[in-house]
Amino acid sequence: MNNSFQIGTSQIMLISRLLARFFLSMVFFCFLLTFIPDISYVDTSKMTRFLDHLEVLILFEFDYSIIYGDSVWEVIYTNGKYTLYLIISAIFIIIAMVIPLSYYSVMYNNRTLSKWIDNSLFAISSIPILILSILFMVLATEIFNFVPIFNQYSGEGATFTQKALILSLPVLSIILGDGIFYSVYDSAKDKITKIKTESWFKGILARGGNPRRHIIRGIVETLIISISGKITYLLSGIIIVEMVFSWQGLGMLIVDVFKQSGQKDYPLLIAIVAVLLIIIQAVNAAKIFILQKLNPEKSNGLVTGS
Amino acid sequence: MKIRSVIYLLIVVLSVLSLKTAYGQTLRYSEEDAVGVLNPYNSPIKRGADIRFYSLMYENLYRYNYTSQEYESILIDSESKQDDGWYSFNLRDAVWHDGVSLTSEDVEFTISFIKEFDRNDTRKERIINDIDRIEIISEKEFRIKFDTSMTQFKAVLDFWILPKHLLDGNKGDREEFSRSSPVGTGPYMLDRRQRQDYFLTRFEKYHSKKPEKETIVLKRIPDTSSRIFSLFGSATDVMIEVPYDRLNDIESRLSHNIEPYQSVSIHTVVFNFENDILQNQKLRLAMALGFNRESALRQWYNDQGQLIASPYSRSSSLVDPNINPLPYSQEQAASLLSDAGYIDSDGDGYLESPNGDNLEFNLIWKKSIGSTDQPRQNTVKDFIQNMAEIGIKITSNPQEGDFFSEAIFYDRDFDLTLIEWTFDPQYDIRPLFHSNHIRRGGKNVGGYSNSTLDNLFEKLYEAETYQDEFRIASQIQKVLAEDVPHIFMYNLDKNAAIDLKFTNVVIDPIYFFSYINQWEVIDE
Repeated sequence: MNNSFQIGTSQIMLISRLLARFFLSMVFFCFLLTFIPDISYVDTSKMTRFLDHLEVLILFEFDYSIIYGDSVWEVIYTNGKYTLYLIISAIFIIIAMVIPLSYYSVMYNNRTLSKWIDNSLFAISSIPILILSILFMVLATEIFNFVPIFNQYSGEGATFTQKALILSLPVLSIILGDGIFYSVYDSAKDKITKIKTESWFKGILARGGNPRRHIIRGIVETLIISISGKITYLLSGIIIVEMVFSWQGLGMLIVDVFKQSGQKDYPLLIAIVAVLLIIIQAVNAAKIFILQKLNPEKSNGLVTGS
Repeated sequence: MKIRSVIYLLIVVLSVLSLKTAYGQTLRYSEEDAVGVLNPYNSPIKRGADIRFYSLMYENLYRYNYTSQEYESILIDSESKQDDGWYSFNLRDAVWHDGVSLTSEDVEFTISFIKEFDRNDTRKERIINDIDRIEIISEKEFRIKFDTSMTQFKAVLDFWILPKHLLDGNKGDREEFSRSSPVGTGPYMLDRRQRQDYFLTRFEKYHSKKPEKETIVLKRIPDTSSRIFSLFGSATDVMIEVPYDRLNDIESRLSHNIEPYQSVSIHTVVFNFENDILQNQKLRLAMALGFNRESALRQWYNDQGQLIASPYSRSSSLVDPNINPLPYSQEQAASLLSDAGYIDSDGDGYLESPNGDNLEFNLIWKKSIGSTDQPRQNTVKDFIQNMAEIGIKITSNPQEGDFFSEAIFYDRDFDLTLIEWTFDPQYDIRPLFHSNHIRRGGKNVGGYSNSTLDNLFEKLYEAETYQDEFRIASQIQKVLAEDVPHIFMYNLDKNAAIDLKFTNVVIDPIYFFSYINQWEVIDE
């Protein structure tokens, strides 16, 4: 009874802390917005401008998007689902690829294969997202005589292969570009190497147990920490990929707002940043809760309150 | 070996699977920007994408034809001049996309809608200032009293007409119209919207010649390279504006025609008269003579444009053909500078004024985000090089979007600025040079003031005939050529890439698709 009370309090504390972080970040963002040159605010003081933006945030006065005419939340819902697809697919594919690759790279006593995997992944993952996505675009156009932009997905009889290319190339660009994939793979590999030297693991091997299950369980924590630390990189990559592959997601909306000269769509921008911050905070919260579940003794008091 | 064979087989299978399906009677074009509000008067933002889209759905009473250089009737069947400044008009037998007939009440309603709601201040001011009254005579007949002696009353009536029966209701109806249910009298009507892509179908009851293509698809592709790829991959048929450095690439593939069309913009370098040194006319003239604009035009813009001698483009009806663009002559420039007393007294390669002030200026120019602005960057480099050759030091200061606008139109924080001016069909150059427009936010960014020119502009506005207009405009051009408040550079052509299957393509410089019903399609 006492324990469940403690858990509840800690959860409230955690949520309060995340909410406070979110709110502070948003206030800071509203403050930064006042430095963006805008001829519609040219004769307005920075303080008035700041208060204008805060008013939108606090009083929830998002109303209609200046650029698109629809309600701000309608625009975010329409575009946000595509961004969410990219984020979830990227995280899922990273996990699905990193586990077997890092496992075979460390566990198989084939140094040539291991080096080959390492070097290939490092080489591909070192390419910036922008270049990688354009490369994918060129390859698809040359090989399949087809441009894998999102506008092609629906209507006009897109084939299964074309749809697969449209859906997969942006995700692959995000995963492989800017070193995100290699960084997660490298941490997973380090962890497996460490596990391999530990006595409990050697004991399992000596008893003829299945090492795979223990390894996977052992690297989950590393994967969660590593991927959640890369979430902001993923979001930045998404902006680039959305531009190149014409994915009409949140990243493209941000670029639209900033590109707009004159009166900018601040309510839309504030709402998008709020949504992105919520995603980041949600991933962080999920990380804390999952780590707590996996490893209660290392919870540093967040959930147990001890 | 086996793996390689499997990969090859896989590629072949995938290639067969991805064979293109026939797209039939559809024209697909790409836009960099999203189309936003679908009511042309509710959009606070002026964007090419919006204007082109509106031109497919809405129609004006009159529209300027850049080829014949005259206004042509679109929704007006006949007009006649009456006494006391009244003009009467008869409407064509057109219907709205929902089947309701176009009436005089729609015209009256649109005028009041613009006066009340239009978010484009220039257009709103024009309608408020120039239209005194409108009276409905019958369902198809109305008359208008213009406020001043209008030589170009048709120019005032160059605006899109809206349906009164759909917009005269409550705010909710107007918002619905703006967001998802626009109705016009144009050759195409909105079928559906998918994210930021729009699907239009041909309006079968269109009052004039119907276009050949049954549907038009607007694909929003923000990235320039992706727009070009989609052209190469036949995902689109038309690219509205091809970057100059990609023209040869597209032409060499022989799959698309490059269709040049005139732009309604000019490029100039503006002198800031707040800088005392730049008030010297000889210095300004020397800088204009010392800049090789022809070379910049040829090298960086594929020679796609014309040098200009004044703010009027070479195709403007008011341009004086006897005033030629200044030649490129470094000798003349050096001689003028020497006459004005500028010498290199400290031997650093740059001139100083008799007071010892260095001839060193800051050039601010607009750097674009997301599109190739290499030609402009190269032009700036040429300018700096040319000026250095005649002993004038220029510091380049590229600024992006709003930073540029704020520095130029509000802070006036520059010595020289390279700027592109875009005009509507009325081609009003007065804001660039009239002293009334020196105000903060005004377009006379250099703070140029000349009372003779101000008087000429007043006369130009009051001119009753085209001959008077031309004569006064000619005098204005002479004053500007002598005074050199700007270095008039060039008026650039734009280029569209259009699939070879389209013939008889006529492009409107502003609306692009105004003559879509004349485009012919070779059978696919």
